[in-house]
Amino acid sequence: MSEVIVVTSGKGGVGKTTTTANIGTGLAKLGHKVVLIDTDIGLRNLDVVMGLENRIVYNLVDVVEGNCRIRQALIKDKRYDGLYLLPSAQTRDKTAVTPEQMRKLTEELREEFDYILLDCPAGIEQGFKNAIAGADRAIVVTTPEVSAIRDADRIIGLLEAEEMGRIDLIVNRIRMDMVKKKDMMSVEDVIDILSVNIIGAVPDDENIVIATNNGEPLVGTNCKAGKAYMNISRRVAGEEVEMMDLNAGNSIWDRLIALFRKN
Amino acid sequence: MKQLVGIKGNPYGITLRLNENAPFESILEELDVKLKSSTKFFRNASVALKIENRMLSEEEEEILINHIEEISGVQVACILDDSKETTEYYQSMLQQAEEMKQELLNSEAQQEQWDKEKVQEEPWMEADRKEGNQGQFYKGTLRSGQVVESESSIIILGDINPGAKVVARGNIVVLGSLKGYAFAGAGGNDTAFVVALEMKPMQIRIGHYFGVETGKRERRRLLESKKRGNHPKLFPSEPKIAFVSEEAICIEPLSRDIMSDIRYT
Repeated sequence: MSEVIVVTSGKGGVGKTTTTANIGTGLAKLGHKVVLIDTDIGLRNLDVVMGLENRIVYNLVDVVEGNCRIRQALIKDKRYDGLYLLPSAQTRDKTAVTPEQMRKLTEELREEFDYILLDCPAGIEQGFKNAIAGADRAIVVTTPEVSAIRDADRIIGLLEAEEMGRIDLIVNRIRMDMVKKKDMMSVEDVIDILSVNIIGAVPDDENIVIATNNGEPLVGTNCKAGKAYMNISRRVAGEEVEMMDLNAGNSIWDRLIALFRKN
Repeated sequence: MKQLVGIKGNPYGITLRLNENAPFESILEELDVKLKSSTKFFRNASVALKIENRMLSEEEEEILINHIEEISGVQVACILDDSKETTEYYQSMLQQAEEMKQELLNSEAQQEQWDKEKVQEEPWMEADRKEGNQGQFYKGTLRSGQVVESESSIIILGDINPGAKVVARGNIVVLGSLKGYAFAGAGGNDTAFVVALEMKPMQIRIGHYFGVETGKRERRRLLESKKRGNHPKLFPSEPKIAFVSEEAICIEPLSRDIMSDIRYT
């Protein structure tokens, strides 16, 4: 059974595109057939994060307007089997696509792919409405700060009003050192306010910046964010994965202490 | 010698230009002389009279008019007066009269307004009395941007997240955390109250009063808890009630005493 998942947040800059790229790549690594769709028309950047921007010929708006077939617009990622990207248009705007057209498109893609991930733009108007039109479930991304949480709350309210099937939360860019000093909200605090099921927490990691610049999603690699995203991908696929202990450091010293703590 | 009286005439009136300094008697004398020589011109006409350059008292005016009428035979139908002083005098008098009239009107209007307000209070008081004892239930958490309104009282089985709003003509009871906006007594009823299991509102309004959470107490509590090393969540939040007392919104822990004090009508 194919699933259409929209990754949204309300607030901009919290990590939707990064999350979409990493979960998509993670699912592909697990052997599934995945297509990533960038629905941010006019400000596309999923292609950049995936490192596929110089292979774009056709885009989402071309498909929807009938200028080309879906197959022609899809870009196959050579690094992984079964990972495709449908980029957005850079020269149009949100009015170029309607929710109805998005629904039709996702219905067509269901026949070929296991997972269809939609990278939603920031905001709550046309772009958002387009992205959620064909989706079965939503993943709401937020960072542990008041402004992002306020917007996430609003988004969850709108999703519930649209009767979205399943809503999961990802708390992104969490910094355990600040949480310990009570300078930042903890994951529990965030869940307390938003009251939705949490599907993962991703620690703030410098490697994300490097990975984005290189166009290589870091899911599955040995850094904290990489591990977190891999766990999330597995949970999306239905596996039960224990929550990573975000407090543990990576150095030998931290690992020793963790060993002692377990005993 | 300068003329004390100058007469200008047209078929409808006479303009008398009188010397302002000369004694009135002299003026009359000269006027008599001049008028006698012009009787034929004005015989039995009804004219308007204008007096220039000199302010005359009422008596003087009367005397003057009599003279004119006797000697020349004209009937002075009216006196035109547009001397500067007179005009200004009349203007100021008129203004004063207008102001007094306006004041009177205002005070009447004010009175009417007060009466109207008193009368208006009745309908909502009645409506509240009818619906005041009724309440609606709302199940679910209100998320940011959502609003729930009630014509009577309302009980929320859930949380009010920051950015969400509850409005009720009556009371508001939140069986959860109140972190958003609550507006009780929305019709103007200052005796309404707001109860919440966790009272952390962004803003509470009751009737005509409103209060905001300054956040200072919250921060102080957080700092204190940091010192003690406890997680702030460990402090159990107690149910609180917000009501109007002494012209301000008071928030107190819910206790039996306060419950019995509730003056909700």
